[in-house]
Amino acid sequence: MTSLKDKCAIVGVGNTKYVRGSGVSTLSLAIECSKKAMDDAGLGPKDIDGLLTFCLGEPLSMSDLAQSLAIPQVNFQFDITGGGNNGSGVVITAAAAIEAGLATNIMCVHAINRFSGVRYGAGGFNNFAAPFGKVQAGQAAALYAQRHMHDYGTTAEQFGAIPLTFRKHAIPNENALMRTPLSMEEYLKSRIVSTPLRLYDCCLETDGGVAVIVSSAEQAKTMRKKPIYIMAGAANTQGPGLDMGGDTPELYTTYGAKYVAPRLFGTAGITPKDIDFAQIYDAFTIYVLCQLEGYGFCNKGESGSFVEGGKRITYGGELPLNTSGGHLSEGYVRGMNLIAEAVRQLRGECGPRQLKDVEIGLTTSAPNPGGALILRR
Amino acid sequence: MTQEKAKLRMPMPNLDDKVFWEGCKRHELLIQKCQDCGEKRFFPAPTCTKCASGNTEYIKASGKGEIFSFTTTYNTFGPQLVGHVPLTIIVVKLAEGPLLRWSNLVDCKPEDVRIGMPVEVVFEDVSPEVTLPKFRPA
Repeated sequence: MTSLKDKCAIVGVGNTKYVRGSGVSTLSLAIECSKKAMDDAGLGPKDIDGLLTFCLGEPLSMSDLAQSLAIPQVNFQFDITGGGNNGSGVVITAAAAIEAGLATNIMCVHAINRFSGVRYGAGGFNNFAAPFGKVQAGQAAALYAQRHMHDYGTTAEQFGAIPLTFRKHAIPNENALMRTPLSMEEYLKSRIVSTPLRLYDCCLETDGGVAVIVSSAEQAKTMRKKPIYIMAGAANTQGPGLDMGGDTPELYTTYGAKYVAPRLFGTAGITPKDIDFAQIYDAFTIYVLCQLEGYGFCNKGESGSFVEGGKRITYGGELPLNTSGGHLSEGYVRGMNLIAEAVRQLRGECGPRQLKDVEIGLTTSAPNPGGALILRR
Repeated sequence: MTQEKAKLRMPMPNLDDKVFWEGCKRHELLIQKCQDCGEKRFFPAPTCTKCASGNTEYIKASGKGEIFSFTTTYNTFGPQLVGHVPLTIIVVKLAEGPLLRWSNLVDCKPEDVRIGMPVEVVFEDVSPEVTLPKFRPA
């Protein structure tokens, strides 16, 4: 079987400011982050010949973006319908397309006005959801969280360790939306959104955009920044069962990660122990717990004690997570800002929040189907 | 100022689930049974999720089951749930086996809901066109 291992690299990343109220269109956000990614890579419009995006609620046309960036010819492009499960998937798809010769430099772009535009909860057209008041992704996450607490005794304080730690990580990040310390007392006192999830268990509705440029490993060596190689990736891997999670308690709190992990680590030729840090898709805290288990960083049911107190998941811990603050404190650009952070950590560009001596990082997209990337410097 | 109670979007039956919604109007909870492998399933779908056979028929479920998971929503998500919260959304493990996603628990205080609690279906006639299957403690 052919493998994409180390065949391609991320050569440029760019992002807008993450704000609440951008005042501009998603196309404008996409243009801004794309230009920054191109500048980061040292590439111009004539060098970009592939474009990929995913969108849900707010359409973003790659054809429009190509024209807006004065790209003379696009050889490969898709506007994929879908949400946060697609971030890692578009990047590995770009790598596959490059390896297959469909394009040379592919830019993966995501831009949303999720605060000032279409708010969460405005979807929900499923005949079995909206009539019963299930209108928001957080309510689905809450159902999984309830089951995790029931089956494994996971506590509110264990959930709380996640937003507290990620908030600590966001404080030195100038582009993070939330930069004031958060205490366990504040977490526990915060209002219940949908039991058992509190306000701080939920990510931030954000306006912003992120672009990531993928090239062949050979081309990457000639570019402005140090290449960050793609060791392995997964795009929307899914196990059995309808909806998210399958029909048994064990599957219900595992998500796609369980199915992503064997192929992902197998392709990369490493184990979870080789991962120096992870940027885990954290739309809701429960997703972090379930993915820690699904990717094999701890046993099933033990993610609560893994994160408890925050020591293992912060600087100097065995698996630092979401070093920019993640979706819970930096901003929510559907997993794409997590990929940008992973690239910058591996390049050593993160200033006060830079991890020491990191070589291999994991980024994920969730919940089910799930995707992920293993990146190395 | 009190806000007007939000209108929840009602089901718009489609080619895959119209038999289910017609059943609700007759106060029957229908699930599908694969005529090849015997698997019982929910949501309504053209083929079996275990063996992909399209040889399927609807059977009347007992309407009994237990709570597999639940969440009580307090946030109105802007205007969407105004007048409806607190609202308990449930996943029910039907006595016949499949998980029914999603419904509401009625006639029960939010603080009394538990995973494993026995429940039974109760049909809410919203209009002449729409009946919703909800559940109450059994």
